[in-house]
Amino acid sequence: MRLRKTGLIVLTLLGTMVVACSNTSGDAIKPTDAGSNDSSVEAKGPLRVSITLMGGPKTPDSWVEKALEEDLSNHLGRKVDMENIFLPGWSDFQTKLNLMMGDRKSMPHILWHSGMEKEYNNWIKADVLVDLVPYLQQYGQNITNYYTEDTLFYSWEDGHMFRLPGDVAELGSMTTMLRKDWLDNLNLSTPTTLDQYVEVLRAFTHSDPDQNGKKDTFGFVGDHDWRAFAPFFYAYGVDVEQFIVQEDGTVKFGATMPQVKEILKLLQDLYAEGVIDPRMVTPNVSAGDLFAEGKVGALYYWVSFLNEGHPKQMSFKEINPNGQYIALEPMTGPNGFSADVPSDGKGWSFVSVTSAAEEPDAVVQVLNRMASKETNTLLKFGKEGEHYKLDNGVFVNLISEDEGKQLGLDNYTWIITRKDEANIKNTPEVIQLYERRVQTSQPMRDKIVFFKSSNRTQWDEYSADLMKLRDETFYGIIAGNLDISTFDSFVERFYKQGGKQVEEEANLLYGTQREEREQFSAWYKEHIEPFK
Amino acid sequence: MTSHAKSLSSSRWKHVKRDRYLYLLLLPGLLTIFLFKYVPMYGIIIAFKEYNILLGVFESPWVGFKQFERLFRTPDFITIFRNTFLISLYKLIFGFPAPIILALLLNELRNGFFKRFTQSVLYLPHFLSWVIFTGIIVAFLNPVDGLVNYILLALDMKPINFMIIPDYFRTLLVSTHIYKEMGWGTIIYLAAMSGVNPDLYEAARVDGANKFKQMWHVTIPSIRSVIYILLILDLGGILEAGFMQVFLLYNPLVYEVADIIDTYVYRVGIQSANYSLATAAGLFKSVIALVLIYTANKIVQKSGNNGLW
Repeated sequence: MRLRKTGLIVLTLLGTMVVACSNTSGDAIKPTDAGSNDSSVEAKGPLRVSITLMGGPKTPDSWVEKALEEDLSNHLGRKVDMENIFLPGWSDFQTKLNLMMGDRKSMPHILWHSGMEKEYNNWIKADVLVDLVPYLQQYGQNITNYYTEDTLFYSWEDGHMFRLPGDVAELGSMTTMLRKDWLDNLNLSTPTTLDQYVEVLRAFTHSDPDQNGKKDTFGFVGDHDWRAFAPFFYAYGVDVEQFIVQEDGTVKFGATMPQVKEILKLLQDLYAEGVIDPRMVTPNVSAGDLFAEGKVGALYYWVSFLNEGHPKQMSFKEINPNGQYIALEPMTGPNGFSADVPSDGKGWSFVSVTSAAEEPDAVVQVLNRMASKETNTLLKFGKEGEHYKLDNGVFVNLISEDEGKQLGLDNYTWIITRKDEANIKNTPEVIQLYERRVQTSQPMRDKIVFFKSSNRTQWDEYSADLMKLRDETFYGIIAGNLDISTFDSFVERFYKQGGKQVEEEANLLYGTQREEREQFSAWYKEHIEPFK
Repeated sequence: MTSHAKSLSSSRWKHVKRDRYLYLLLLPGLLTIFLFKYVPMYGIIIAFKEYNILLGVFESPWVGFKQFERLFRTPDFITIFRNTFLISLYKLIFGFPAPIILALLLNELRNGFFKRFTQSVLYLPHFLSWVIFTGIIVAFLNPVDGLVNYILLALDMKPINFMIIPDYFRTLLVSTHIYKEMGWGTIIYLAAMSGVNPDLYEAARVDGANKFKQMWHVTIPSIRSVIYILLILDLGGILEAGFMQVFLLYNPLVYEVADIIDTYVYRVGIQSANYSLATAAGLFKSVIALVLIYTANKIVQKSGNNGLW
């Protein structure tokens, strides 16, 4: 009896541990029906689509899932059943995708992936991804009309396309911002050149622009990253994080260009004068919070912050009822150059259709419908009148954030998310501004090399150390810890510590990429344009 | 088997049989340690491989000591190693005696309520994560509107951006570490002090010893073995400079004095997905820790005290 009791306890303990160690989470992957007879779909029978999802609140059995199924069923003329597979957090999702893609039975029909270039190449070699070109030609007009030729180039594999961008940032999503009310208070005119801009920043720091009798304002702030300094670097045609095409056609890492020294000297002087907020040189700064607080005169920030409904803009208005941020055209440098920060247009996450999908054509139709303006808006914001309304073009939420999460709004984000007028949260002015920033960022887009190839062995080997060297030197100079002459030794050390190999590789890739781009252009004209 | 060995073995089994339920209670803990500490150890071999996530641990190609060479070849390796060692050493020199002193002081408190209240307040920082704790530190030291700079301004002094001055940074790390962990560290010493025979204090008082002499001649010698054991364990962690604390507080302006092996591994190993390099660095640290623990244990044993084993 005692033995049985002991045995029972041991078994219970072991059982508990085994259960605890096994994966029994609600989002466990169910094998797809690919290959099994009873699920073979008739031509117009129900369509089951499994999809991996990373963004949004990850609400299971949500309203948005039913709304999407209804929308797809109506559009495709057959019943569509979406099977959502919610991926775990950012640290684990790649492991989960690798496990799922290891066996055809556990592959999703639509695979969302990000930062997995090596694995992506292996999937192509293993023949588990569907070439989307013929299906895009037949059913993918929403997709091919939305994405530009430049964007699709980065998903092109020698005449095939095994992925589509899931989310691409607006081509120009940042702008120079300035306090219009402070300009008026100080009777200053809007700056257009870097010199004028610097004078305005100085006045914002020293001349009590908020007229409260205290010296409690800063001229300039931004997040702790280099694009925050774009008004300075871009006026000289330099980006310290990118490879820049030189006049002789070669490619050079921006941080080593001689103009950088001059800009760093200017930034060092401004920091010493108290024009630059000292919090900017440490990573603990949140420019969004300082934007809302309203003690800073200028920053280079996201266009979306100018939306009236943006939480930070609303906070700013609450604290500073008479305050107003305006967007400026990029500052012109000493040589007449000006530009805004361009995004690479490549996309940071992608969607692929796997060979587990029995009807890839129908799956592409699903993606194409999701890429339509109506469905994109439905999935992100819900139904007009019920979940939101448009008040003279301004988006007004009719539900709380929590209610939105319960409905599962945004569950399907990053599955071809549109950034055009489908994003109805943007006011007409902001939409216009985005369009303008596409143009103003073009001069720098022409100079920067955005690499298509993920096979950059020298970069992988040396970049972490080189970026550390750049950051400690540049921030050290700006904060006055280092003398400006340190820049020269930085350039020397940069090339000694692997920069030479990195730049050689960059030049090689740039050459092959240019040829590939030309080939793609010809291919695009023949295989995509006529089918749009 | 000799009859003595037989009887020893059977007496052991007798103990096991008698205390079988206690052993059973121990089993889940042992299994957990085995499953989560020993089983994953096979992964150490990726330090000698060029690990490829698709090929897995066993199929990835062997590269011998290439990852270690890469680690030691890093241009800043000497700086990184020196920072790791110095930060840990300072934490050990200043941080190790702090809970002992605090425990000695707490041990002398006679008002029960005040003692318990003080202990609770002292334990509190330990339960805050470094993320929250660094948030508090940053807020206090903020160069624009932090409390410390308000005080400096009130005293007609210039505000100081403490976070970006290399001379202050290690002091900042060590002092905040002591502040956070000192209270929690007293627990084990207080437990050891509660076991000191009161007769010893009485005898010391009869001999005319004041409070300080009682501490010095009775309390400290009585808890000496605990101090040694904790010192040996702390020496094992000499290359654990505290990743979370450093990572959350450091910035490019103090890399020169703050970049440690763990932050380097994070940047190069984890962010650049070079898991083999990260494992090699971890193994390198573990080997040094093992050597230090072993040596310290030997020294303690040679000096006539009980070591860890």
